Amino acid sequence: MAEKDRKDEYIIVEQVWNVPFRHYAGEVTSRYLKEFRDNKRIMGRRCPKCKRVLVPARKNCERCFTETGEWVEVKDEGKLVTFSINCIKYVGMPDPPYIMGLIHLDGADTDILHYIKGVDLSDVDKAGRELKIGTRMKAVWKKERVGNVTDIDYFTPVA
Amino acid sequence: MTSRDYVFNDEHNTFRDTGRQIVDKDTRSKIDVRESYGCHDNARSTMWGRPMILMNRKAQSQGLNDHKGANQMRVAVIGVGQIPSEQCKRDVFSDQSALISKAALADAALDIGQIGNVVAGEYDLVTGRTAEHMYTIPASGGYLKDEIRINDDGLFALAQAYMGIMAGQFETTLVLSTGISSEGPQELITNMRLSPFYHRHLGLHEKLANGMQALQYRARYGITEQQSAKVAVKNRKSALRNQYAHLRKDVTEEEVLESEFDCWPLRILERAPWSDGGCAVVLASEPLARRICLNPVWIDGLGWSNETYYLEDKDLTQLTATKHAAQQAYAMAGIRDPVREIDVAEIYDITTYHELMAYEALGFCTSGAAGRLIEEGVTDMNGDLPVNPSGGVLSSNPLSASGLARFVECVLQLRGQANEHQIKNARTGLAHCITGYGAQRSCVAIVRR
Amino acid sequence: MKRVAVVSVGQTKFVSRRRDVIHPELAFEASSAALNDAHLSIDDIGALTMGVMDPFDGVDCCDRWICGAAGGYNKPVIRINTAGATGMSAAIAAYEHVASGMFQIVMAVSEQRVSEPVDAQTLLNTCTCPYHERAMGGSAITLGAIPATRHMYRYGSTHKQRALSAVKAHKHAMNNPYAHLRFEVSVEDVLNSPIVEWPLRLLDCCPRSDGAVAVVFASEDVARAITDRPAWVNGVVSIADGPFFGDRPDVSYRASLAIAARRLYRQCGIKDPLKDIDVAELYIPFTSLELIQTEAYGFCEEGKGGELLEEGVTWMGGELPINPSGGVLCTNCIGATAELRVAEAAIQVMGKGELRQVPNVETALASGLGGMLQFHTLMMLGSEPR
Repeated sequence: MAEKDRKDEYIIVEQVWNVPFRHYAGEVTSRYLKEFRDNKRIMGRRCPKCKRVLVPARKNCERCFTETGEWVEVKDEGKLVTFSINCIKYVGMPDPPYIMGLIHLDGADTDILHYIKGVDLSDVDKAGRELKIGTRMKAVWKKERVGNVTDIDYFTPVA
Repeated sequence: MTSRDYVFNDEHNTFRDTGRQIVDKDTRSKIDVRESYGCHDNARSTMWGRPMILMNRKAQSQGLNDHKGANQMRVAVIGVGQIPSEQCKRDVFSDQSALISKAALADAALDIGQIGNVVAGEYDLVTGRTAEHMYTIPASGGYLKDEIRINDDGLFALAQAYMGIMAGQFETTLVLSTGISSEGPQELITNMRLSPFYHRHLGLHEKLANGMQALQYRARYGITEQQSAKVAVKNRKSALRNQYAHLRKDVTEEEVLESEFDCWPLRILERAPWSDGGCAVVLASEPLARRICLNPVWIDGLGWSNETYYLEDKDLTQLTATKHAAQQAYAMAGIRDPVREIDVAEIYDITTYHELMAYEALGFCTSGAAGRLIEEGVTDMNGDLPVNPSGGVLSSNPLSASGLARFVECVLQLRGQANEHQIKNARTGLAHCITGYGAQRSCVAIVRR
Repeated sequence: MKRVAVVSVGQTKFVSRRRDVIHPELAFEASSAALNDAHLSIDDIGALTMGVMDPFDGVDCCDRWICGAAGGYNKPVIRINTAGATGMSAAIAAYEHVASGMFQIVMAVSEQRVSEPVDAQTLLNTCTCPYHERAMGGSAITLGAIPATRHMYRYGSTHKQRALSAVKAHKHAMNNPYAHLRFEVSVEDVLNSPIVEWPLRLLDCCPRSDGAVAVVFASEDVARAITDRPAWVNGVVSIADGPFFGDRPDVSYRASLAIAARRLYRQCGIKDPLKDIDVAELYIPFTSLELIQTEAYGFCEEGKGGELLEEGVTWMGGELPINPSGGVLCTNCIGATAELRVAEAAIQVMGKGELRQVPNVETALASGLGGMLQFHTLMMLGSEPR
């Protein structure tokens, strides 16, 4: 961000964009999120051409340029593919430290992106080295769910 | 293994995975269908000994791979201009556009009246405005001129500008990129680019995604922290010799490995800063360039590609878009052995790990061997293939101009105008750019004297 | 250098809000429609240009999320954003891809969801300069209202004349199954609709629409193999005016648009626009702008735009129908709208207009408009290549 300016040198015009949006999730995404809310289930969509199960559910398979079809339930458990630990406080972003990871759920052909918790972050470097790629992770669901990706609170290493 | 072996034998580089599968009638096993891509030698177009299944190649074979036959005219760079990168220009950004444009015009020894059109490569939200080019294009001389704004890095704007001249639309073009990061919270802005349904609510931003990519890459291939630090040491040292660089203080390996963590495993000294700055390039058609320019630099190769947006749905250890972009650019420029044929490379090192991944994607070495390359000094200033003698993006990141700046640096190298960071006898240069989550988009340019 | 033609187009049915699909799915609909129209597969497409204007969709650099679904997976993709002119700039960029000889077949895809922001004008206000103009609360409607006042003062044009532009557009839209607003209006309806920003009333203004458009450009080597009646790109121009209203002569943009039109006519050998052009799909988001644009294009003398509307010249059945599709007054998906003009002009040349088809079209003009009346893009399509 900007360096400190001397008060009498240049004028600084402050702006905050306060623009509300309302996004309609459409047929496929709505179902995906409703399954989160109502059934604590993660549902993928299978592409009829390449047969891959895409999670999060998508209406189009971009590799085949074709609409996906079948709904397939995948487990809310899988292997850790990679992660990163945010250590710096950025404007508008959650307070550090927090872990973001990619998890390959059993039954899916793609990974899912989510928070990872249940890891001691008092020493970030130690935590990073000890959390191995390939660790099995399980979703922890919120009690109050609203139909949002954050209905899954986080993924946590299976003991 | 030489890079020649890599280009033909590494299955990632020779073939493009179409994502489709067929079932082998004899063994009932599933086979991924691949397609020959950018490969000159058709005899090698087989897949495990079986005949290649060619998808609908009506346009594919003639389109992407047929650059050389398509048009005999070339496009030259007849002027470049840049302004020094710094943390914050404390100025109206469109006023900076005027400075950048004038620098390029002065270098080309042209008047703005002699420019046919302006092509800008700039971002909106980054600057806190919608349609920010409303200000930068007129300020840079685009008033009453033909114009277009590419909403991506300036190197992509250069690609569009190249095509405009090859199409015979224009004789001279100003490619402009006003780089600005200081006016808004860039991490939050990258979060704004995420799907509002699946990703936005998670505290994800591009630095965190870069961290995930870096971790998976080094874990898969055993790249060490020391190897990553060596990249930072190399580039920050080079930046000392570049008067336009933002960060001009060299660092030791210890300093890198002890610097604070940003998005673990990335340390602050392993990733690019945010800078203000900018650069511009003046292009001309070959006939005009030959008449008016004493030292034209030719754009001999150009390629760009887009891979999936979904971090969840790709191999993060590979820079796939870079690979495809490089294949196109190499095919066009007739390059078969990058390490031998390229004299200097300016790579978009948004992190030290991305520079290493780029070595592999650009065919300088096989997958996973980039760590050895940096250790052996191959990419040092006095190595076989110097990478980022300007200091790279790790030392200067004027957002939206960082990729075009790589191109400008290559041009300066070829002209012998890189002053203290000059590479001797540079005749062929490579400029590389990546943008988006997981390096989703990439553009590669090959320039020659 | 290759000659280039439009060989197929695709568009979605435009509505206020597509609740059933999200952004990438919308782009897919247009792309697949364009490919199906010409029996092409996505593998035939060498490259994509994407036109999306941030930030209406509520996602910055929205193209990065949606271009995969649009067909850009592992392909060269360049994203264009020139504000309101985005769609045509994307089309022009695609044209250059092919004309350069680097690619044989390129698709331009534009997508926009103007329904996502709760209030679009809040967003449009962010175009304005934060130092000098943003606090004044200017919005897109301002850019129709200010020139209207000036035109009335200078040439004596009237509300009624402006209203005819809306009546005409709505009448034309009845023939277009894809148009968003499909109801006829009378001059009285327009004059009685609520004032939005004086002197403009609600029916003087465009709606906000969700939708996507795709246009496929092909080189002369393959165009005729794909379709019997390609629409050849015979002229392409774009121009940039300054950003501030106050800088322009007479507070309008007629001067820069007239310059652009003259450049285009020179490229295409047009001597008498009314006679030489058979149909025009123009970017007219506010009725007042039709008066100014027709004057700039030379369809009538300066100041006579209102009279031109009264004479019926630019209605279906007249000498030079403007916006047989219903135009922007009946469908405005901002970033995609200018590409829709290219698509509709191509449809006219290719003879695919059905009920909205103008007879015997050989030359069609399409235009785009961006920023605060700052950027103009023009394209001339023809049944024969030049």
